[in-house]
Amino acid sequence: MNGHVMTTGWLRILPLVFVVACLLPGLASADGSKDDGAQDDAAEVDVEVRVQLVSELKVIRDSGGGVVVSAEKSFVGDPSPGGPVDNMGHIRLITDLCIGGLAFDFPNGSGFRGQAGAIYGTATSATGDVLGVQPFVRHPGGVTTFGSLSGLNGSASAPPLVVSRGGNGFCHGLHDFFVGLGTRWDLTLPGQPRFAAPGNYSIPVTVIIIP
Amino acid sequence: MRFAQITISSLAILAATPALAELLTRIDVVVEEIAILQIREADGSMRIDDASLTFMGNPSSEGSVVDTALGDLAAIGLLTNVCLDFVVLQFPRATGFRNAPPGSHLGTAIGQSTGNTLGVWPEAYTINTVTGLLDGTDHAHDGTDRDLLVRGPDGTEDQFCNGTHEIALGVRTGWDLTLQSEQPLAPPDTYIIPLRGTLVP
Repeated sequence: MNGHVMTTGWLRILPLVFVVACLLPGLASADGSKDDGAQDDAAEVDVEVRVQLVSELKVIRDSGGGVVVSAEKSFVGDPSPGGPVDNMGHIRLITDLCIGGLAFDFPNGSGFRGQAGAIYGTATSATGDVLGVQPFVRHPGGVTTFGSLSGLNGSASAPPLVVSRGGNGFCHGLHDFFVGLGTRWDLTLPGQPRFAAPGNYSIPVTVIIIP
Repeated sequence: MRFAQITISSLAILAATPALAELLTRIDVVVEEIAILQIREADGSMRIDDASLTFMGNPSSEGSVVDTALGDLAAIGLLTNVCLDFVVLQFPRATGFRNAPPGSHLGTAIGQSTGNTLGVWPEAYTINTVTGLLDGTDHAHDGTDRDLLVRGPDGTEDQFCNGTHEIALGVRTGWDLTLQSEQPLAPPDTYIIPLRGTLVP
């Protein structure tokens, strides 16, 4: 499912109906007087069209996906700058002004086995089991991660994951953002299976423009 | 000629700040069936200093009993997110040992200096991961020409399910379990036998 959100309308043209009425015979002229003869009156109208400042987000690929096949650290997507972006969620920012950045928000929690106090994104299975994940975003300015991916020790602060850029931020043009995550099969919650049971775990990610 | 000029300039005032935009994407993670074996204690060791049958786990001359602590057993860890039937232990073996049932196949521990062979009975115990002690069931080799199958704590299949499991590995032997073609009693030496574990779903 692809979709897009536009921040504002970006093209407006005022109606011309009343201007045309001034040119029709037997109708009131622009100054309100009646004209009985051939109409040689003219009305000139200036119509301004202004393009408003616009920022738009589009979903190019609405979902990313990866497979955990071992007990080692696994990634959906490649967290390395310049690496392949296959299977990553893909968001495109289209803007004609400079914006501060994007905020990526997602469900999260703490209390994962062996990681007391650390915050993880929560990917959930159809049976309600939770797998801890650490999302990351590849963008034109580099890679922004939710906590360190080296040890998958979670994050000290809660989402959103804010992707910003120095200077004026993300300015006029197209900017692509690719969303992935890191996880491991033992990032599970007490009371649930010690290791993530085989199956599909999903995490929704909401993207918001930061002016 | 009448002339009317209307200038429309109402669009001149436009908001310069964009409104917030929000959309949703989703990331999926597929976890497959995973089961791995890890080495906890790479080596087990025992000392034979009398003529009795000696069990690894209680390497003393005080008696042929299994120590309830891990002792000098080797150990492996089994981590799985599915239920497994058993772990297969493979080891080299031979027949023709003295003081063993006729036709029985014993594991072959090789003397590192002499090259002599000492017959051993491989054995395995599951470890209680809470207490750290050996569970009571002794998974000992039966003397056939088959690998040793180590099942869960109660000896049935499908006992190694989601979680971590510990298995202690060792042997039982005596100095007189020697090949007919070699010396009657094992000469002093260090005898080694490799044990290879494989998961079976």
